[in-house]
Amino acid sequence: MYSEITIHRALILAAVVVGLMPAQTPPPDFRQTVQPFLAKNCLTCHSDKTHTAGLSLEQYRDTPALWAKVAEKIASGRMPPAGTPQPPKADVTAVLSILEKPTGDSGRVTAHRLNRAEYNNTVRDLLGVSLHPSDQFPLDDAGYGFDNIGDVLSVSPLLMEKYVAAAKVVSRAAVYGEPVPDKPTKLTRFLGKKSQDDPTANALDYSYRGALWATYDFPADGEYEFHMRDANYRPRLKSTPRQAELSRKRGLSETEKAELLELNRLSDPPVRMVMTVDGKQVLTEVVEGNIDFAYAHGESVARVKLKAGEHSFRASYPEYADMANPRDNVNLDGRRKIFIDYIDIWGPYDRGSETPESRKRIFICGQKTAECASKIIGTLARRAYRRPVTPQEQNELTSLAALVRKNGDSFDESIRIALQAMLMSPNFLFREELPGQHELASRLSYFLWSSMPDEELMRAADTGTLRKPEVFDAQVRRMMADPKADALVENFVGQWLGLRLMDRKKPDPAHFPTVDDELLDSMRQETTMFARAVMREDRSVLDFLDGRFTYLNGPLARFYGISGVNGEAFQRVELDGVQRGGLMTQGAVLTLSSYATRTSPVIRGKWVLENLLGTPPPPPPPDVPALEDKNIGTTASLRERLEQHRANAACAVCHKQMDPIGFGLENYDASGAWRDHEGKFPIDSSGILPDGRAFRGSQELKTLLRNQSDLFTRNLTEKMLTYALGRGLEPYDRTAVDAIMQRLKDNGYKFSALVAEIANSKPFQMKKDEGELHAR
Amino acid sequence: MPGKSLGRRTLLRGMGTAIALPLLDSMIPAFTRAAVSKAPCRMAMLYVPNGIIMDQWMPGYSKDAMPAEGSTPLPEVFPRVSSALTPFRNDIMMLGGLTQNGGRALGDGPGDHGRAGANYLTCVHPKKTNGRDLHTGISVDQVAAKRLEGNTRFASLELGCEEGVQGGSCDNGYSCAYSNSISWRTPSSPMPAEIRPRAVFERLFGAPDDDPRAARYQKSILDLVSADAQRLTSQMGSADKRKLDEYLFSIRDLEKRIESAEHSNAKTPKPSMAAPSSSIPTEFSEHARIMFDLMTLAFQTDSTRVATVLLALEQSPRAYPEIGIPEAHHGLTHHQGDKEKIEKVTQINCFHAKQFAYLLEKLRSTPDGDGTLLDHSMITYGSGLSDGNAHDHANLPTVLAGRGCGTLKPGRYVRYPKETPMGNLFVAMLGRMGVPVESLGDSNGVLSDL
Repeated sequence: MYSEITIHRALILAAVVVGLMPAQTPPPDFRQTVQPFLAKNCLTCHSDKTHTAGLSLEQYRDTPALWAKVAEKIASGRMPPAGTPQPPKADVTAVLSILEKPTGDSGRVTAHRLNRAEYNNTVRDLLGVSLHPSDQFPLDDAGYGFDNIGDVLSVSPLLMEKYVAAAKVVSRAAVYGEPVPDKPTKLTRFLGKKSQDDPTANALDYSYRGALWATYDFPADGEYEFHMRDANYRPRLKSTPRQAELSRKRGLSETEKAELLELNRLSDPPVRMVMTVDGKQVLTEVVEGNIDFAYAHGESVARVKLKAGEHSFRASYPEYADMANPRDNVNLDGRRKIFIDYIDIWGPYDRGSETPESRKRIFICGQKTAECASKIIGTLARRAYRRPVTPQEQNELTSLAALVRKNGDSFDESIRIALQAMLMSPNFLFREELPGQHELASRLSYFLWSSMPDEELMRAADTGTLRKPEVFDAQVRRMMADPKADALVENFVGQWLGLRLMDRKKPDPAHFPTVDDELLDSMRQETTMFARAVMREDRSVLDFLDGRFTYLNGPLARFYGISGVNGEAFQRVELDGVQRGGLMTQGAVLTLSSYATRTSPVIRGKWVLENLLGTPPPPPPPDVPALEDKNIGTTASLRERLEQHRANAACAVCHKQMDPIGFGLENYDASGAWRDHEGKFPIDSSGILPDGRAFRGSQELKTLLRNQSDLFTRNLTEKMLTYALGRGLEPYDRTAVDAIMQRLKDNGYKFSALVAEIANSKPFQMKKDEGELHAR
Repeated sequence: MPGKSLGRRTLLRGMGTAIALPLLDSMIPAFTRAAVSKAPCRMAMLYVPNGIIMDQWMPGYSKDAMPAEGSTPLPEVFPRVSSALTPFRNDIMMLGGLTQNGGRALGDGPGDHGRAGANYLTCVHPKKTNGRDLHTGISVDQVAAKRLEGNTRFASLELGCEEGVQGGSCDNGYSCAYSNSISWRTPSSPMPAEIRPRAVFERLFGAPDDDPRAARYQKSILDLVSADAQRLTSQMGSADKRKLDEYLFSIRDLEKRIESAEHSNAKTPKPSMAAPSSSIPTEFSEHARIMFDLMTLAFQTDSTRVATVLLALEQSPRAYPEIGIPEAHHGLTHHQGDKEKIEKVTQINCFHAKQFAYLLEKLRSTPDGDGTLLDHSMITYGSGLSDGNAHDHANLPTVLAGRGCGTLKPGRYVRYPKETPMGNLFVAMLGRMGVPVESLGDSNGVLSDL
């Protein structure tokens, strides 16, 4: 396939050189913008008659390679040559924006719709509003393991309705400020689930330790109040004779009542409740007493000054983080002894009178004139479309705004309507997969930030310097250092490892009584923080296999059996590497690759082959004989069962690849906890890989896998390249993958090298063939 | 076919309700030429994934010996899974022998679940791809929607109760798009299901903050962005306009809806239920029932005549703790003969069927023209797999409910010859909707004896 394309391109090139291509009709924007430019600036030398350097630009031909060269010469300022009259900068930008989109066959050209994460981020970076309109969009279909695949992202009438609604809401928020109640009101109430397996209660996660946490999108800058109520159901376990006497007595006097309350209060130790917002402590309270108090403590109120946008908060009892068994906070009737019953958010109080950020960005000139409107719209559209705006586009948008003015609506409204149109335009909603500078800038920023280019990146594209190696590499480094690059962990790593599935795949609480949503959330945080550290510290990507560090808080460390980590806050923990280290032995991965009720060496093995080594086994035939898992741990070990299974030759082919890897991880149960026994059988975590290499335990297994690190790095390269390109890889991408892998190896497997090599790769740069386009 | 005699019971019920609850003006479709008494026909296709425990579903089922072909009255006692439908014995038909051959591998290897979803309403074997070149057929609901367009405010409604998988891989080389949607407008453009009850409500009956003043510019905006899209398309050459075509189609769809609202006096009907909560119910039955309420309301107000409901996705990882099942549905269906797992799947199947029964009750108790909504509907309920453990695409569990405006003879259990294409049923239904087609996907005729 690759060679065919090469030949095809070679023929086209040959045709260009000998001038065999007949003249063709140029596309409209070429005719409108480029041809006048050529006539004015180029044809003196490059007409059919003058034919300087064997080149005539008089007739249009659909030859992308030729126009790419022309664009490069104009962009770099080499043409028109020094000493001749130079075209105005605006003209150059307009022409480049068209020339850098080859109009003919340049391989696959796909309009790439923004996905939900990209839409939200883009709206945020474009306008500075904190809305998340795409949360209401239908789910983005995934292909090749990711939800940013251009071919799969479609537009349906339903989605179009959502675009219309979002454009309205966003443009209103941006121009008039986000909708805020006139006076402080109760904005929302968060409730926790009533029990771990309660599907009917509100959706907030369940914590045995009584914590409640969430994020909320605050509508405006201002002060907000968090109203929390403690539920206090700590029963008296033993009472003093006096307590017992007063409790039994009927018709207590006021003094006796007070005495009983005080005795009850003293019989249970007080507990500290702490509220944090974005990790910062904003309130502490002491909750005393026992069951007789129930909700008697009333509401605790924390008043906090916040910027508009999403903030996370958490109310909890930090000392409970260090409980040996979190179920010690659960009564026999299933109710927790103490927990946060609800959190209400009230506000906003004391709103600042400052102009919203979005208005500052939009209204860049103060007059309500047509000129000013045109300037505002042009500036906005360039950013919304992530490229220079053509005169026609500018014209249509300003005409729309003028129409609004003519109808007697305000200046602001005219801008809002134009903005609404931009947000619905395909120029905003789609990115094009083309070799141009601006398209490259977008490709890079959506890869690293899941969002639009910032001004600095745009300027590099405007000036046509983005393809200069030193400029490009500096941009990649700068962007990776930006906090926005966390999107790469969130979206790439999250999907690569399937972390987003954790909400749906939970260990069965009946089998794993100490695993609650809080612990699962900690596991997800552990893996996210670990991956972020590999990126931010520019570590070797092989650390994903067996990195000797991780991030733990008290509850998770206790669950893992690691001592010395206390409290709710996560801290970096160096590992001895025997029991834990690398993704494979993190709770999130171990849980994701298990059944709800038990481990499956088969699924774990398959997970590793598929996600880490990139060598997925074929699926089983649908109706395979039973594996009687009821008896596992009582009459036979799971291992024995599986070994019987593998006696069947048809099964053995695949299972001898999967099962040994899973056996190596058998010391971790289906919730990720360490175990030495399964039922009455001791765990045997030894195995033999299909190539004959034997190992004992997860550490030796990881060492073996690390020794064949090419499999892992190839897989990671392919996955990240897929994500970066937003398309499935084709056979002809293999040379690019090989090259990236080689450079990755040469650079000590550093994460930054992987990202930089992908960004510099031919498919990402859309360089079609050696020397053909854009020689770097 | 329409005008066939309605059962006496139906007539009586119809008359009774006509007295008690006369037709509201808002319930009269804007474009119906026919008399008020002649209610339009509606169709809805409901989907449950991962097959159904067949011997608990079909009367007299055994894996080795299929009940003989032919039609018999439905038995008094239904097996466990279908028992929830007993009260509707006279309103439903159980169909046997229907097959979706396109769901089978046909040389493409594994991926039965991915194929089952996309194939179910299209009857076309989906092309095996992770996404580069999605291709299946046009689904039966979309065939109807296209032909009936303009009669109602919405050509079709796509509803669901489970959000698709975000990233990760779906089924063995099949893009998640195939299992996330059963409704396909073109062979490459799925119609995603709306899973938020509140969003369905606001779509049908308007959001509280709709500002009529700003709506004046809607048309100008649509003109502007269509011009943008056309310019983009012309720049793209012929290589890949598919995405821009989808965009343009959706813009036009919107324009048409705005125009028809301007040109007719049809006002957005007033809903007879309050707006549902903006959060998605966590409990399945609550979610399914609100969706069914909304679908009923959409039919009742003649906002649409065509709907699909994806109750759960193929390979659904959903667990049902509310009925004591913490394990994922799909995992359990590969029970490999384990009795405990079969029992759990049976319970999930029963739970799904109960929600279907809720819809039937709702439709049967909603007066519509000279009868009830159920009289004027054809509702199918089924799965693209029969035995989920074995990935069997033959003899699919299928119920056809309603009287199809008097064109159906419910109360029967009809067994068709083995390998009868499911498409034949859909062709028969399209005919009854007044939009006859020669064929749909791999159909080879029109299902008879309905």
